Amino acid sequence: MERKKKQEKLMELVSKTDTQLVKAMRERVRNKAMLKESKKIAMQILFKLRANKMTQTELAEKMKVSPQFVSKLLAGTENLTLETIVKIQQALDMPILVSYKSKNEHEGFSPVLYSVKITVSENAQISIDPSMMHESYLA
Amino acid sequence: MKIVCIFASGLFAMQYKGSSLNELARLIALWNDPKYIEQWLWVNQNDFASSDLDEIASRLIEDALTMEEMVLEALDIGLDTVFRPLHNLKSAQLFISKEKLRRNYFRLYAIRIDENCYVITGGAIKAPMVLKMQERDFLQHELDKLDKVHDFLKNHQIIDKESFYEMLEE
Repeated sequence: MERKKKQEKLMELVSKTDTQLVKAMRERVRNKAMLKESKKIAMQILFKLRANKMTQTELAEKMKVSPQFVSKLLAGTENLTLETIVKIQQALDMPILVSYKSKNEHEGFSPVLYSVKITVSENAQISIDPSMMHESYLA
Repeated sequence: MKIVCIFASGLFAMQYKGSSLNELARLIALWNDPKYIEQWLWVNQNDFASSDLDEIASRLIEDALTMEEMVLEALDIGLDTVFRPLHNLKSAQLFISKEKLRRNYFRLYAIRIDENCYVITGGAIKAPMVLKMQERDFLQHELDKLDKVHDFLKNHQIIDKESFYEMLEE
């Protein structure tokens, strides 16, 4: 009985301490799917910034947003809008949405496929006929 | 240092001098921060067999969130179901033993006081190529924290929940 009383007394004391943490954890678990994506995008941005030796301020300038906004993006807690995602893609030339094409794939530059006629003789000699060379462009 | 209760069902965490957060809150904040994960990965990338940092980063992000889920589940079903002895080959001791909760590379370190009663002393990300905690300074630091809290509890004659609660009331 004495022990139970002591435990109850303790719980009265401790219930005030860190209930906020458990509440925040429950909230994060509830939003797990969205947070996972937001954090992955933040991580992609961070990798790109490091690879390009680019600062967060420079990214903010390119995106035409405030440095505080970039800071929020990199916290990985934001429910990003399509508009924001498109800005990130354009500023870093980095695909996030499946529809995004890198600048190299845009108009004026089309990767070329070459096809040539290659023949292999009976004694394993390989010959390439340049007159049979064709260019075809990827649509 | 002080001991903060996280949840009435028996989960506690250390709050060390100079820190505004208890260890569970501090680690969860760190592990949820992509900037911390990216920096950690950059420094420790050679401790992974794979060089695909995108893949490792994705896994770390998912596991950090799953770790929180595991802690919450454990609060409902019992902490003893998720914590394991610190050293893999060691079976749990009867009282105040060193334990860990793991999810792939993530570790929460704790002292088990009694049945379903734990004090979290710290935590870390332990990469797969690091076999012993002594191999990295930041993991050795976690071992030191475990030892310090273990000795502190032992010096206060903590042997079970009752003696632990008595100490907290003092």
